[in-house]
Amino acid sequence: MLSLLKTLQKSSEILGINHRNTVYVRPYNSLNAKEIADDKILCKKILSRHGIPTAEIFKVVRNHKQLNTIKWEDLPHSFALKPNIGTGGSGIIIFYGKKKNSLEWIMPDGNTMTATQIRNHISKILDGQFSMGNRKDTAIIEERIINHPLLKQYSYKGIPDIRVIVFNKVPIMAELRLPTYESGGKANLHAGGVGVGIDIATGITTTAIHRKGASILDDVYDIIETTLDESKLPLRGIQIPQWKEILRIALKCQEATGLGYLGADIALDRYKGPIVFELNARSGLAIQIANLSGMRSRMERVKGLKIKSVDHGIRLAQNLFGGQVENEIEAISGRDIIGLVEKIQIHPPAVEGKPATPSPATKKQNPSTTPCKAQIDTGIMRSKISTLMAQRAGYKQMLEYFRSLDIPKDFESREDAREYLKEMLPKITEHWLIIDAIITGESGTIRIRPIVSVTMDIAGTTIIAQMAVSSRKDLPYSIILGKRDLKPFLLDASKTFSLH
Amino acid sequence: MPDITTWLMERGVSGDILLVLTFVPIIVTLTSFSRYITGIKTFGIYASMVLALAYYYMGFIQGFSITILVVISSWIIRNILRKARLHYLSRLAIVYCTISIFVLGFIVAMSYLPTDNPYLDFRNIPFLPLAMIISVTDRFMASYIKKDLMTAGRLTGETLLISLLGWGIMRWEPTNTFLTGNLWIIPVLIIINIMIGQFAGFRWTEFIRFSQVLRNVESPENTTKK
Repeated sequence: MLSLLKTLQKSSEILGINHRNTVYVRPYNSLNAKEIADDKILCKKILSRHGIPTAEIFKVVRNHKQLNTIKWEDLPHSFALKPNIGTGGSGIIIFYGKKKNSLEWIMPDGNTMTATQIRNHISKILDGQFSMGNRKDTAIIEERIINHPLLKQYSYKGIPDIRVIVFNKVPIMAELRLPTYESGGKANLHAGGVGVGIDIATGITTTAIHRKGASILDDVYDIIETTLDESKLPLRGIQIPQWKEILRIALKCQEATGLGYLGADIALDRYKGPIVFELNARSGLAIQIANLSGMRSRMERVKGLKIKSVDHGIRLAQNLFGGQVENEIEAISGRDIIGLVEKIQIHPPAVEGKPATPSPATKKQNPSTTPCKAQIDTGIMRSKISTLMAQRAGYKQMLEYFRSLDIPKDFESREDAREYLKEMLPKITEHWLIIDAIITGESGTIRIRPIVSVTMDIAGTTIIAQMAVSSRKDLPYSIILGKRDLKPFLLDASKTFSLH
Repeated sequence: MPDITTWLMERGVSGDILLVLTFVPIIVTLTSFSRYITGIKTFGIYASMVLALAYYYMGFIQGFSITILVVISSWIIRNILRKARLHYLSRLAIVYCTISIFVLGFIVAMSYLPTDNPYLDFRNIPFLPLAMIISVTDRFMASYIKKDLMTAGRLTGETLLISLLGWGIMRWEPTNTFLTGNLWIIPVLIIINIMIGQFAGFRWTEFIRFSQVLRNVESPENTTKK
């Protein structure tokens, strides 16, 4: 009886469907605002007016007459085909490429669809087969988002996205949604995608979930540790790139549409950064399972607060709801203790098109890894790796590519470097190993350095560090690990090397 | 105060009409309760109501058999027609036509069974309940198209469960007599539905769905606010 009462009390922390609909969706989402969210074309128009990036539309097909006039040879090699008022991802097909000299486009599972088959699918969209209430619908052909290389490693084809729940101009909860083979390249959890909770404060992933196979109940999930494919990459501890920008865009979507309770689905394009995929006026609640936390208590905390600006909303959320990552790591089994200098093993970098395959850290040295010593420095945020060590560890081709860009080796000011980087970043990150770039001041010289993802074993733990590649000629250690990558560890200044 | 039921019957209103007009509110309230309180979804009010009434007038075994036949044949036909280039309503019309053939074939096949069991004789089943069962086909079809087979199967099962409950309430003599003799139940059901409509608590299935979160969160009195 006591346990039942406790469960009932705890349930008041979690947002259920009834509560969502009666207390939040109905009062806070007006009919007009819901129409904006449900209509992708209208939504894009409104978001664009507010300067919020969305995927570009190539073609809109409103009726069978227009369908008959499509010039198939003019369609791009890759595009996304979607119903305008579809629900739950149904009816969406992504095409990755086109077969040479034919009107056949390639889907995530490797199968192809001919122009006739695509035409047939558009016809079904127009007839309302995938729309809410089976109403007549419009088909949209829009640009395919190019996956960010970091997130690409964790997804099976398709486009991963980040769902951010926003209420009263505060980001409440967020989740990374990854397509899988089972979901056919869709990120929807109902379709078999993987959901990973994200700590609002840091943008670092926490718990991952995947729907249970055979279950009497709908919407029931298993907690998983790694991706479902062969590479088995850990899903905890991924730093979502451009995290603050993603939160900003989600809040701006709320301002633009007037939706009081909003789920913003944001994808990370490799070149364009965060792009709004879709908005939801009745966002699903499995996000709470991925975060192992209830939304209801969070929303009640921010209800009625006066939020002065987008940044204010973000700061509030980070202070009130952040810190999941630290809590979880401490709760699991205690952190590993490391010293000021540690022996590490660097894994070979990812091959283009395939995710990196970190092997579990063992006492025996893995022959394919590069051993070296790393200095641990909690006084700096960003980890660094010397050019020489990066070359030894297998990043030679990346370094050559970066050199070939002929980036100036010294800028007059940080402002100049920033302007240059803004223009050059898409070119710099064209190489699959370079995920970002940073402006550094080294001995009075202002330079631009590439940032790469480096998988390494340290103190019995495998981590993926995002490191700036820089010259460290005069320094004793070719690798320095900064605060961002030290969260799984506790530092003992009296230690030299860990016995692992 | 005059007994309303007696008064109506004296006015010539048939018992069957009273039966239907009392049971429709019961079944729809059951559907509403099952969704918002228990979390058991169905294909909506129409499907559950129509099936429960059909089972009452046709007989449960015969009605349920026809329902299963309709569900399986609509799934088979949908898969056959999947790659065909057809408008949506024409596709649905073909499914209905094919189901009619399947049902006819089934009735004929059952007529050859060497048995006197009346439940296995489909030759004289009432036609209106038969039409009602077939009419639910497009709900099944829509779920196959929009959702996966597992979800569609689950929804079908839940709809049949609620229909079975509805049939049970209608069929059981004590409830049958009580409800047709107490028509004041209908306005009471309106009040019950208002209450269900405003219910903002957890659905029963959500206690299972969010069990991992419930294990992880602290009770509200133990939560320290930052």
